[in-house]
Amino acid sequence: MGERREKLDIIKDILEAIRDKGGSIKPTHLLYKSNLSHDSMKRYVAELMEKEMVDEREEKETKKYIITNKGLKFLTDYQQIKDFTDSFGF
Amino acid sequence: MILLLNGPYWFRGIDALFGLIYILVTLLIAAMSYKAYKMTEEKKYVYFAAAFGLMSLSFIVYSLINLALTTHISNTLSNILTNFDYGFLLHMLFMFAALTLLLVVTLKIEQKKVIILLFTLMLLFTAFSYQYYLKFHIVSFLLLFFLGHQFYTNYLEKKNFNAKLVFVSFYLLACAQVFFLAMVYFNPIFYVVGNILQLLGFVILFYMFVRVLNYGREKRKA
Repeated sequence: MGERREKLDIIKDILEAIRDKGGSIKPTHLLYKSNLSHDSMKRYVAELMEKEMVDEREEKETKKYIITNKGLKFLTDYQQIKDFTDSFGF
Repeated sequence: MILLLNGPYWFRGIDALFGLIYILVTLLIAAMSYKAYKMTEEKKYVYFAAAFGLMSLSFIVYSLINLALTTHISNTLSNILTNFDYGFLLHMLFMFAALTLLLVVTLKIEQKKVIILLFTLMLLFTAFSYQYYLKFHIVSFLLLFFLGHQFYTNYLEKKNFNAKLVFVSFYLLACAQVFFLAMVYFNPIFYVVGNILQLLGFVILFYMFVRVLNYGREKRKA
């Protein structure tokens, strides 16, 4: 499916990891869940923050990433596109 | 001159209304494919969107011709449409282009020479054709049957209900072409049967589309 597809899958995995943890996650947990190197994760999270799909928040002196409505919308769209393309065999 | 108004008298205009459903479904699928393109930036999705867009254009042309002839909006327009083949040829051209493009995308044909050959054959077939109506439905049947088979292979691989809906709808669309042909040799009622099968095919595609939309939303709620 190409590089772009892989990138989309990684973004989906990051967003799903945050969503499945109730909407917010510690960076260490995200690193474990997303199965990425530290640098890659930082790069992806920075991109997601730039696209306003993820936000950063301090909770009890601990940094946490939270998923925004835009991030949740991406997950819906991703699932729809995946179902749609699977239906036609792409 | 070719057949523009087909089937029994009482069915005239109803097929144009069916056409509105075909237009809606093909446009929705084109829009979803375009959304897939915007998300993934993979060209195949934009071609898929173009194929369904062309199919929609083909139905728009056919429905407009039918409506113009059944409602007698303008006598001049009716005369032009009845005496010249442009309307049907345009409908035929859009549909052949759509089905050929769909075949190229679903069969993952990447060799430019083969793609050019297929489109040239389709273009020549349309431009230098007589007995348009018969040839249009024979070729449409073949293309739709091949597409149906390709989607059936995909269903066997994925074992997914939506994939099943897609292959069933394309086989129904292919079957409809057989009844459109039978109308010429047997009875005008076959035109109605063909239209009902075609409608069923598009309704099934629409159902698949609704399932895709709802599943995404359900996943979001979960």
